[in-house]
Amino acid sequence: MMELAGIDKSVVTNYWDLPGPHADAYTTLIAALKSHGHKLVGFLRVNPNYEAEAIDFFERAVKEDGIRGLKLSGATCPISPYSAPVRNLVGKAAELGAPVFFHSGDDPLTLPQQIGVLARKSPRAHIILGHMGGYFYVRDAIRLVKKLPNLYLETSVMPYPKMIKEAVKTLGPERVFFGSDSPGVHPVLELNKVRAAGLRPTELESVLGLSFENFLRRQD
Amino acid sequence: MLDFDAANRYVIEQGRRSRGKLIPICLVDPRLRSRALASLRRAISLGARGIRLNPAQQAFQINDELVHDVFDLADRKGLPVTIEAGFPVYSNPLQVAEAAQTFPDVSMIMTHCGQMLASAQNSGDALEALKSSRNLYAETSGVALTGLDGFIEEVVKEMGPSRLLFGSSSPFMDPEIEMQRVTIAQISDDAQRQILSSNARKIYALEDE
Repeated sequence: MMELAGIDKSVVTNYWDLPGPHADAYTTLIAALKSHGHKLVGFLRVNPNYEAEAIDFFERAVKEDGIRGLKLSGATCPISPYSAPVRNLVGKAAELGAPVFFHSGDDPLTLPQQIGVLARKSPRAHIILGHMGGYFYVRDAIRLVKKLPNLYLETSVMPYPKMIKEAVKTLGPERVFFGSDSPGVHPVLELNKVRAAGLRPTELESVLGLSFENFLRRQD
Repeated sequence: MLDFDAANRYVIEQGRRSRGKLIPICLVDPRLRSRALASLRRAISLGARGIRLNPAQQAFQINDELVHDVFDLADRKGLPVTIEAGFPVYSNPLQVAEAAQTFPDVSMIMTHCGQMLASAQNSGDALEALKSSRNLYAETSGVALTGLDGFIEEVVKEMGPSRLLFGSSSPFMDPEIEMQRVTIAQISDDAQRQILSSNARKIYALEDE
């Protein structure tokens, strides 16, 4: 899929939330990172409902297996984004210099404003609003990123190319990251969507990789 | 309550001038009750080829009895009804399915394949809606999962391509990107042709145009 779309490097994550019944999802992820480490950056998708066990699991993954970031989704793990278990887990991520990718938009417990509450309570955490607010909450997401310096946007799934342009105009390209949500969504389609946004060449170059590269480097 | 008379007249006039490129459909607010029906009759007499409903814009639920008179008129006139769908509370796919089952002779088209959730967690409901209602169609604009065993592929596998219609939701979405949702799907060329053209021609009775 990466080759098909001309993508050099990609963040990857496990599909099943962990800890959970699909423990092999972790071994699959780590094996992929070991064999394709130069092309892949691993984020661990964690179920915060496991509280201390989730925090320990994530910390070991970062320190021992090269996991670089944390993925959270209220759509598959029903828990408020600013509840204590999530804040504690995100606090640990911040301590480890690991950014957080948070599925955002549309579903209950994934609203950008809810994640915004988390971002305010966890100012040292760097949180990416995945799908930049989805179908209905894109403007909410853009306004929040403008207000809070520790929030960023990721472009996948959100279907309006014009809103990518608006995001870059409002926030600058440094806070907007291309993503594909592959294999759920076709990466060529997501790439073409960003290309159709009417960005200037330097803005496009930033959104398609440079911004995220610099962002990751700053976390080290 | 919203009166779309002037807007509908404008759209129908643009359709008339377009020499067949634009097929006008008319929007109505069913909360207007008898005035809505009168407005619809006027638009149909001027050349509207279908009816559009926007439940979220006008804060009514698509499966509410409030809409029945509009569906009844659509039935009598043989006109398809396009429903802005996928909006929580107002037009989720199973709500649209209920409307479709109540009026089984009206062709109903749910926009965005009935899915407006970034998680695509209601794609199962959308498929169920299509399975349960043979007069229900899904317009493809904005549907997230496509190209890699996504929703379009799933529907084609389950029931063939005849219930899918390409749409762009332009100007909110980009028509080129929206067309790619169909052309990138792993389906046959014939299935693509049906989705991009011949299905809509059948529904809007354009086959001889």
